[in-house]
This record gives sequence, structure tokens and C-alpha cells, in this order.
Amino acid sequence: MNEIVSLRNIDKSYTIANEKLQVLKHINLTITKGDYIAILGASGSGKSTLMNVIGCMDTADAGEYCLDGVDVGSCSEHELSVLRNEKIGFIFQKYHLIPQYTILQNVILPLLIQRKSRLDATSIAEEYIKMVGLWERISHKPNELSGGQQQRMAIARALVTTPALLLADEPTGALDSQTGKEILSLFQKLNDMGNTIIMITHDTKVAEHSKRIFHLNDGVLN
Amino acid sequence: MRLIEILRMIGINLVQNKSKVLLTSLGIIIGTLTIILVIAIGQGGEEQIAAQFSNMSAETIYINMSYSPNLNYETVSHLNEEHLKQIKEENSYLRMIYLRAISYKMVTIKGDKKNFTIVGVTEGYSEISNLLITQGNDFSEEDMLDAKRVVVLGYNIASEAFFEPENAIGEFIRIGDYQYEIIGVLEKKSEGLQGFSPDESIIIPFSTAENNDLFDKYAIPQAVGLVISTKEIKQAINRIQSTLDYMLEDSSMYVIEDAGGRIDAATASARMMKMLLISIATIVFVVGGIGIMNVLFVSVKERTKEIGVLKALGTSKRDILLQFLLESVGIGVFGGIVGVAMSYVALPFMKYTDIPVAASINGQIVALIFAVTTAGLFGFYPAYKASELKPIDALNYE
Ligand SMILES: Nc1ncnc2c1ncn2[C@@H]1O[C@H](COP(=O)(O)OP(=O)(O)OP(=O)(O)O)[C@@H](O)[C@H]1O
Ligand SMILES: [Mg+2]
Repeated sequence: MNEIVSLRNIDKSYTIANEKLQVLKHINLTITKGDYIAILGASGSGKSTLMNVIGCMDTADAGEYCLDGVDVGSCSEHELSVLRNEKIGFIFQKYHLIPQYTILQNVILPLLIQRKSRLDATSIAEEYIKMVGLWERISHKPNELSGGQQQRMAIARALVTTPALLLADEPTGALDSQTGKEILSLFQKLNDMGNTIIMITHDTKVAEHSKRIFHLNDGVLN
Repeated sequence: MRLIEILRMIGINLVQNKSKVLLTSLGIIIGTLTIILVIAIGQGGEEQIAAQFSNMSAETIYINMSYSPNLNYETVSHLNEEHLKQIKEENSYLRMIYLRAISYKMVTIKGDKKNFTIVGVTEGYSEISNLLITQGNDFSEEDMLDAKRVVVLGYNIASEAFFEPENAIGEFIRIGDYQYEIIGVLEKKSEGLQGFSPDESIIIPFSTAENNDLFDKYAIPQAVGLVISTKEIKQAINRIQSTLDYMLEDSSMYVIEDAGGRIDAATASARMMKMLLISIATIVFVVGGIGIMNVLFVSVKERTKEIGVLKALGTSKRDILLQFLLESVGIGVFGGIVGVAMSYVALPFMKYTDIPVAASINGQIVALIFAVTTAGLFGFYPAYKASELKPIDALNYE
């Protein structure tokens, strides 16, 4: 069983002011272990919506979704939260760090949610903080860091639980090209270590770092 | 998440958001303080009335001069011990009765001359009027019969002149031309609806006062009695009236009243005041609650995004709710305790006003419950609403 993600005929629409807007149209996608794919698409094409469905942050209207052998459609709310915690590392476009916590406190959070002891959680988190090069800043808060540093902090947080799937929504979108390159080489390294990665971007150059590229046009994936 | 880790997160949140926590707490502190004060005022009023009536039992009956502007002090007929004897004899409803008259005289105590209230009494006064002797002895039968020059001092007079009331026993005071020995001191009473304040009075046997001319024309004797049971007050009053009617030249100058009526009236007004205070406390509850709700509601709602992050990372709904519930309860406990602590500062200040206050554990408990429940409720509800959202909606909440 090497299939991490299996999407079959996924539909998703939003209704605003009685007008139905179909954002995802019969999406089919299979991703195997060790894959590194990029999803390219214009703004508003539905990239984030697709990513949120894959990340169990949102639910599809129709279709089947299997994540690492689990049928997501039949999961309870609690089971979904366990899936998010254990199987998925989500790197958000806007980082979504908790402002009042330090780097360490943010990064150990997914481990504490698993009821790991603080000692164990800290030693694991420290490893990843070192890996993303934020060791000197470990007790700083998000607002004391640059955008690139915050993005790396978010990456460390996504990695601590060694998730089956790493999702990155425009990971370089808010960064200058130099910092963007650093993040991309980090992804390369993670993929070399065996991590499965899905990356969203609207930049063809960024997409070229991946193994496979998909295009999303008006909710249609090809 | 382990409870200890949830608590640790709450600790960080509270410390990091000091100013917001203080703002929220402020409403709770003021609410708590107000409730404690309102309850203390209510309690104080009740205790004051209770104290006023502690000297008085509902079985008490008074035979008083009914004062009118054209009262002629020279010709009015005075009650005397003979009358009392007759009243007692003809009245099976009456347990005991005593005679007293009040006048004001210059008295020398330890070299100091001052005007004091002098109360001449016959036997039974201490029992009927609930006056206890704390130091020394009450008047003996002999003191009364032989009109001995002895006095019992009110508590304040004794403690002011002799520092310790016990030092007064055996000392002498001078009234007019004679020395009077202090044989006893009354217990402190604070208040009395007796027509005089026991703490500030000098008690003397009625016969002694008469023999030594201590009563002036204004010292019109009145009688105070106890009926056997409150049920028979009406009969007792009627019987006294008929005795007075034939014994006195003009009995219409006297009115017979019972304490029960006075107590009822005062209790009724105390109840009114309590109702008023309860309505004030209710308003404080509601207004304070709404204020706290607003602040807490907004500050928790602002953290919808944070709840979204927690959900995205896989925190269970239970843990999220527990965190926010404990956090707002923590603020409630903090605000409540500060409010209670501040009441210890505020209540002594109330003593400088004329408003009687009495701090009570009950008041503090009610106020604390108010603080914790309002904070818990209004902190929990928005967190609950946020936790119901899909993670992505909570995360993108603006
Ligand atoms: N919560 C929502 N309610 C209603 N409409 C929504 C919602 N979220 C997204 N949409 C709509 O769905 C469409 C796709 O949005 P999505 O965020 O997936 O686009 P995107 O490809 O990620 O764009 P971008 O590159 O700008 O991030 C857009 O037209 C958007 O307006
Ligand atoms: Mg997007």
C-alpha cells in the first residue's frame, strides 16, 4: 500500500448569495509514497480549496478520498482531528503560528496534542528546529522573526510528527527569491529523506523543483 | 493533550495577554466588589435592627405619658409603686413590671463634672429590659427598700472613667450633695429602643432617686412590664387600662403600648430595605454580567483564528473547550479574589459613613460564584461557537 492520497471524483462548491460556484470539478488524483508534486494554477482556480480537502481541513461535497488507507469521508470529527495531527503536516500560505507562543512552544504543540511528555516532545522538536536553522531563535516569538524564518518555523511544526503527507500552500509566495530558494532546497532535502510532498504554487519556476506538475484550471485538474 | 500542558498553555496566555486579562478582570472585580458591598449593607441594616431589638422582647408592654403641648407637668398624676402593685395584683397576664423615671443631673466622676442620664428603677428592671450586669452586682432588695446610695453604671461611662469597667466597682460618684457607691456595671448594649441608651446611663434605685430629690418635674415615671405570653398582650393591655382608669385622676394622659407592634413595624421596613437591596444586587448581576460578557466575548472571538490553528494541528474539540473554559474561569477566579480582597479595604471605609455594613462570608461566596460563572459562561460560549466551525473557516476568520 504505497498510495498516500487517492482522490476520486471530488466535487466542491460554495454558495454565495444563492449563486452556486463549483470550485472543484471531478478531481482525480493519486499520490504515492515519496512523491513530490506541484499543483499550478491561477488565482481563484481552486488550489487552496483542493489543498484544504486533502488536508482534512474542509470536506468535499461528493467523491471519495482515501488518506493513507483511511476513508476520510466516513471519519467522525474526532477521527479527522487525529488524522490531521498524525498524518498531515500542513504548511500554510499565511504561516498561522500562534503569536503568544515561542518557536519551541509552537513547534512542540502537535506532539503535546499526541499526549507525549514535555521532555520527549521538546527533544524531538529541538531536532527539527535545528534542521530548519532556527536554533538560535528557539525562544523567540513569531513577530520577532522574518517571513522566511516564520515559514521555516511552520515547516518545523509540520514535520515534528513525521506525517505521511506534507502539504505546502504557496510556501514561497510571501518570500523573496533567495529565501524562497532556501525553502525549496529544504523541501528537496525532505523529499530525498522520503517525505511525500504536495506543493501549491502559481509560479512555474517553483513548480519545476517537484517531480510531477499538475495544472488546475477552473476547478479541473490535469 | 495532558491537563498539565493545557494548564501551562493557559498560564502562557494569561501572562502574555496581561493587559487584556486585567481589563476583563476589572469588570469582574467591580462586579464582585459591588455585590459584596450591597450584601454587606443589607446585612448591616438587618443587624442594626436586630441589635436595636436585642434589648426588647415582643412580650414587653410600656405605660408611657402621652406627651402633648398643653401637658401640665405640675398637675399631671404620676405613676408610683402603689399603682404598680395594684396593676400587678389585678392582672394575671402580667409576669412582672417595673417603674422607671429618667432625669439629667450633673455628676462628678473621678473629679470630672458632667451631665448624665440618670435612670431610677424599681426591682425587676434588669430582667424585663434585658440589661445584664457584667461587673459587680445588681441592686439587692435591701438597696431598693432602704433607698441606699448605690448606682450601676452604663458600660461606656465605666470604661471611659475607669479604663477597665471592673475598676469602677467600689468607687464613688457624686450627684448633688451625696456620694453614691458604684456596685455594678452593665453589659455593653450599643443601642436600645428603651427611651434611653443603657451604655450612657447611670442606673439608680427608684427610691434612692426619690429620697435624694434626683427627679425633677420632667421626670415622669413610666412602667415597663412583661406579659406571660404574646398571645395575651391585648387582654393584658385592657386590664392595665381598667386598673389605671380607677386609680388615676386622669388616666387618659397615659398610653399603653406593646413592643411587638414596634418590632413588627421595624421588621417590615427592614424587609423592604432588603428587597430593595436584592433588586440592586440583581441589577448589578445583570449589568456587570453584560459588561463582562462583552469584553470576554470579544476577546475570545478574536482568538477564533487561534482555535483554527489548534484544530488544524489536530487538537480535539474537548481539549480546546477545556482550555478556554479553564482560562476564563481562571480570570473569573482571579477577578473574584481581587474583588473580595478589595472589599476588605472598602468595607472599613464604609464605617466612616452612616451606612451600617456587616461583612459576611455569604456575601463573598455569592460574589465569587457570580464572578466565576459569568466569566466561565461568557468565555466558554464564543470558544464553543468557534470550535464548532470547520477548521478552515475558523482559520480564515477575520
Ligand atoms: N469560504 C468560501 N466561501 C465562498 N467562496 C469561497 C470560499 N473559499 C474560496 N472561495 C472561492 O472559491 C474559489 C477558489 O478559491 P481558492 O482559495 O481555492 O483559490 P486559489 O486557487 O487558492 O487562489 P489563490 O492563488 O489566490 O490563493 C474562489 O473563487 C473563491 O472566491
Ligand atoms: Mg490559495
